[in-house]
Amino acid sequence: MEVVRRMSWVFLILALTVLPAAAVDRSKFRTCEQGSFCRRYKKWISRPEREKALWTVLPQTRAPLPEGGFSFQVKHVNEETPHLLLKLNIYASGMVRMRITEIKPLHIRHEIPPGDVVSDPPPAAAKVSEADESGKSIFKFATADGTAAEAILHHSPLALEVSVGGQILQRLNARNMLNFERYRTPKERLPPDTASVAAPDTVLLDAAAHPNGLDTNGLWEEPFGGHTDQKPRGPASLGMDVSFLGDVPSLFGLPEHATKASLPFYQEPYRFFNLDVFEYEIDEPMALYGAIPIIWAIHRLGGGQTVSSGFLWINPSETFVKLERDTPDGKGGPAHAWWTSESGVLDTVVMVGPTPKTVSAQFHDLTGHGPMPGLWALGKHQCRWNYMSEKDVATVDSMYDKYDIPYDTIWLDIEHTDGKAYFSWNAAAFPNPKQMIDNISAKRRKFVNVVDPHIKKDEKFHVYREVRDKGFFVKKVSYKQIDDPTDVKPADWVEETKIPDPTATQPPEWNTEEDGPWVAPQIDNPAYKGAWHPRKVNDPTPDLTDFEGWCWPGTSLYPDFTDPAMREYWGSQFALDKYTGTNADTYIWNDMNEPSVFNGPEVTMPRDAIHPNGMVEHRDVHNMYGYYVHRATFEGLQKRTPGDRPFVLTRSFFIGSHKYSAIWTGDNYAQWSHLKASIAMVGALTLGGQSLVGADVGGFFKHPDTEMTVRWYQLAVLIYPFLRNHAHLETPRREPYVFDEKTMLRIKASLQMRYKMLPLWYTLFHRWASAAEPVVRPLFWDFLDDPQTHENEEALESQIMLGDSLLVHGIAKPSSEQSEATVYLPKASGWYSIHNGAFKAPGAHVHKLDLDSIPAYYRAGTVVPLKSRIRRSSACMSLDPFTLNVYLNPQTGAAKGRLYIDDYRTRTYQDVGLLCARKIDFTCSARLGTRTHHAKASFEETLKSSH
Amino acid sequence: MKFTLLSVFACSPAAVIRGVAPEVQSKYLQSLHCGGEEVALSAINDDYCDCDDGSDEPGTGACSGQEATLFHCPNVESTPQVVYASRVGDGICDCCDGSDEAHLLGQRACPNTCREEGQRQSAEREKKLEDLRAGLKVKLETISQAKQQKQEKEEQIQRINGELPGLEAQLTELLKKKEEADAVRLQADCKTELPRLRQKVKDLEEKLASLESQLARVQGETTSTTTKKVVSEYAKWMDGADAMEDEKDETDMEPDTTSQDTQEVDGGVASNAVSSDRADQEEDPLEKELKEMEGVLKSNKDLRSRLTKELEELREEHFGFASLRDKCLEFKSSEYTYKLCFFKDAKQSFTRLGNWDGFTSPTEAVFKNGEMCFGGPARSLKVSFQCGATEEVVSLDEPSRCNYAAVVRHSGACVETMMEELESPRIRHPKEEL
Repeated sequence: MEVVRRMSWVFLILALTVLPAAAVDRSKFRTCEQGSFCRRYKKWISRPEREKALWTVLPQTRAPLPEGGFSFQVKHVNEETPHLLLKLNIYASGMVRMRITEIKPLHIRHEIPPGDVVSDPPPAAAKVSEADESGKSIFKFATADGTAAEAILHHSPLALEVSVGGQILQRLNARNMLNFERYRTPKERLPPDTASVAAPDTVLLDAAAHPNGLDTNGLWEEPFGGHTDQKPRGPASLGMDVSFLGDVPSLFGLPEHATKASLPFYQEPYRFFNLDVFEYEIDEPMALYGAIPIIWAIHRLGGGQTVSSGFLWINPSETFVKLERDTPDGKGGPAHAWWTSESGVLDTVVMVGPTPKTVSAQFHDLTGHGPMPGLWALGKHQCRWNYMSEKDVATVDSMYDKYDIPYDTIWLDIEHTDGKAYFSWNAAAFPNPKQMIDNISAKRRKFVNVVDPHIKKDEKFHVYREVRDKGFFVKKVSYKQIDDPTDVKPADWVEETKIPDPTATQPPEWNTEEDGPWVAPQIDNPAYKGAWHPRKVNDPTPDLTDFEGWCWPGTSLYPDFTDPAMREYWGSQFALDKYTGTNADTYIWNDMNEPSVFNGPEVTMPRDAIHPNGMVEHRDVHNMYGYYVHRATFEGLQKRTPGDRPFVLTRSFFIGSHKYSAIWTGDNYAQWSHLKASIAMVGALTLGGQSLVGADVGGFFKHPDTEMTVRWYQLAVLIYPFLRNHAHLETPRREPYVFDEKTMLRIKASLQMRYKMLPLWYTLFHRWASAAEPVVRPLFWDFLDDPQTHENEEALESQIMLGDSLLVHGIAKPSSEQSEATVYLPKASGWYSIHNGAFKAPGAHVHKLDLDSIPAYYRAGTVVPLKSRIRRSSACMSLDPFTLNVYLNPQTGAAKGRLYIDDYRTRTYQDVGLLCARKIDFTCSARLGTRTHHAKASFEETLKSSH
Repeated sequence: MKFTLLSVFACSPAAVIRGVAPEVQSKYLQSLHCGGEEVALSAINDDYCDCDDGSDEPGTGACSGQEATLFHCPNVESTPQVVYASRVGDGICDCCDGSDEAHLLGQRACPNTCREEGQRQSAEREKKLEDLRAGLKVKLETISQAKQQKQEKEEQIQRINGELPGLEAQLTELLKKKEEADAVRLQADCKTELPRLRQKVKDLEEKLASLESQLARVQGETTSTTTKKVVSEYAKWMDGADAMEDEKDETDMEPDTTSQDTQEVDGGVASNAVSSDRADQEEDPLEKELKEMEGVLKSNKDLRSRLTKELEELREEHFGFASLRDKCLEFKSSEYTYKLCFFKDAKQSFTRLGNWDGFTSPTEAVFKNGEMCFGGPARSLKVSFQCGATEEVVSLDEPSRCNYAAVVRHSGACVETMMEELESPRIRHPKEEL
């Protein structure tokens, strides 16, 4: 939910007077050039003689790390002693991790606690055979599938090369763009004879130490949009480049951006800074709500071999990534990326692949596997800002039943609360919430309530009082300058402005008796140095007060969710005896957790706010704030209902959010361009490990016409793992039953198809949870050897795979503009239309469009598990029989598939292994007719017994 | 090529076909066809869906998702109903007799609640019947009154239409008379002035020329202009008053209240000013007569247009709602007081939700073009009438922003045919009101 979206009237008027309709307000959000560290980095990497070695690895300093791997000290060419420490880990699944930090930083450089992003303990170390050659350290290992791989650390200039099967896939610092700004004492506080200050112009260290010729703006404070970011610790950014070698036709990933699947090489770097962006636009590198800084590369190597690799940049501060090519046309050859982050440490992971499946497996080996969602979470979610009363909720629920339209979950947005104090109810509209939710439960459906992380400042609100009293709110520093107590007046400082004229003498005629004693006349003191003032320094113990910002409730405070104790407290609030009016079928939606601060810089928290947990500056953890919020909620729900699978929806997220939450692509727009972009956005997110993901069906802002609504549902039911219909407060109702009958029946048919396919979805989620396979994925993931999946515009931007079995082609234009679609079917043994079973050979096919369906094809040779009985919710279907549709490979007469079954809602599948995961192999030797056969397989008994 | 593997639970052959209403049972004694093929009788209710229309599985959930074949619950002691096939065996008790979940046993079995449900329903029906009877009585009265009113109105219009030509002729006559009289009087006035002015000539020789020319002008103009001036001033006032009246009538139908408000204020001030001016003048009996005549004419015309509008607004099919004429119903929510003035406008405290726009169906009406929402549509209010003997607003909601919806109890919504349904309730269908 966005800022303006729920503001009071006054607020809305203010905002809309400056916003052009239907467009993001760019002036609110920083570009690379508008942020000092990115601007500085851009200038720095365009310096002359960039190829000159700056950083040298000292091989003699190599030491084993306690957690496995090695460390090396790294020295700058212009410094005597090494100041940086490089850590190298090689993980058995096929990953090379390189970290760089300061050896003795002036302030603590923020590192993400173990377990929060990278699993704790970290992934198993690979068996490595080492060899030192002159100028490089070589580490040989094998990936999980046995492929030989190498990591070569070049000593000077520092560079890391990763190769698989003798082919170099990635080279880190290939273009010598490594920069590391060490925390420094401000220049004016250094003794005047310090070497770094006196360094000649030709020396390149970093901007803080050596401002000559570089941009010194914004080092110690930085204004933007009416706010001044105080930086008492000074600049501490870091940056590096990575090259993806071979012929690299496309790069993928970098969620979350409203961009294409095959990442465009924009002039402006992609930005990662989690923000509440009002009416975001498509085809933009601007930051959105969440950050998973991962790049997937396709490498076409010699001999027709194509492999895939991944690169992950783990840093929760503001980060920019610029994609570059050697050739001006931006096509083919190697691809490069440079990265820069505002603070923290450099932490990068190369996932060596060499197949998409192994890259995904490596990513999840590093960050952990996602849990099975409850089956209901894959059903239809009906949301709106807002259902206004208990009666409203009951009516929506019964209208679905009236038309026998399946749905699983009804949602309440912020208006259900008492003045936006979350965990409370508006008593006039919701006098008996427990009864209301119990009625939903009785239909075997679920309920989701929004609980945002900003806390209403209200003495009557217990959460406010308790968090305040525990000191858990994020703090604001009242920066002030004080006299430096260490600065003392030099002994020889002359402060007298006047002295008696030393040249004057008492006149001879002076009569002391009559005239009094003679006094020499005063003259200006030539030795006067001016009044002495001690120099000013930032008060080392400034006043810390709770940071207050504006959000939906008005004045709001923001808990420090980075603190495990705060998360524990937060989680405990979901206990059924604490959160009155809820039951065990109630789940939670965390919105606005970037965090959104209406009056903050860029609509978020000031970077100089302080997290009391470790006195960390907000800038150091910004992109993880949302992650910590939804994780706290997840862990709370886990405790509330032991054994149950929690469900949390979050808008803001970071690497690793997949272990806790579903995410959606935020406040999209009822426009065809947003419908289409959702294909790429969902695909990028699933490549970032986040498979439980979707966009608001129909678009959040504005109202879709009936055709757009139908097309959106037709796409969403097949490719959005998280399927939610949501709408802005100011739009007309858009529940399926409000449309004309034809439209309603088309939407109903789409939803029925979704429910029919739930066994497939659920089985695919098991593949995700157990084998790290994204549930939905761009075509290259399954068809890497088909070059069309790397370069064909339609195949890249309009199509996506559901598992390895279904190809879906989204229609993103009205029929008045598009009457047919060209569907590209990748190289496989053939394809069958999901709608009529018609067989198609691989290749491009022109598909005549009608309003009843969009093109979708099952891959030949697939067995698809389905349920043919469509009931009002997924729980109502849990004991129904399965239907297996067998799509034979016409050459072999065989088909394969999987079916996964468990109790659909508890953790027993994990805890005691109560589940049934089956591979289905189907072969027939004789030619069969098209008649449908009933067959009772012995396997069904197995299914029953596993329950 | 498609194979379907499925689990089957035993189905016991029964004398009656499960899920089928008694009067339709016989259909299942003959052969069953669907999709151009005959279905073996053994395939009926075998928990496997052979027919897309569900006809082979009337008693199981096997053909869930279609709505051609519904499951029949006898609901003995309550009202029989049909439910979607998707409700059969889904673990939720939909029928009071539990027949949709017959496979649930022991603790999980659906209790038979038909007696309670039947009693509750019959009490509800009784209450509804009572309401309906009372409502119909009120409605009848309202309709007969409305008919009578309609007749009266039509007669009045006819009367006015008959009288108007005579009245208009009288008015023309009067105007002529007054014109003449005024001319005479003014000329006489001027003549009495003349000697006095001549007296002044001697003292004011230098002014004589101008006075003479003035006099000449006065004399020259008196016959035409002066008379006309009086008439036109009155006409102006009348025009203004007319305009004001017309404006009022029109704005009732129009979206823009603000202009209506200003018009009303301006008109009011203007008419006050004119009448106070006129109070200073001595009333001429002829003028008085003229004014009265014009008043009569105008009030007749006004009455005629009001009656015509009223007749158009409330057509015969909505006569049951005639009692809402000139009536406002109030509804208090926690935040606002809503005021629904039928045939006029609806307000939420001080915000106009819309002007009466008429009926959209036998039991629905709409107020449209209310105050604009910021950045959104103009407010509007949909009214659904519910049968009842009393007149009251039952609920008022805002389902989407600035689109309001009210349920109003009124006898106008009571229909004779409801009696039959309430007295001998039909099988309940899932698409009926829940």
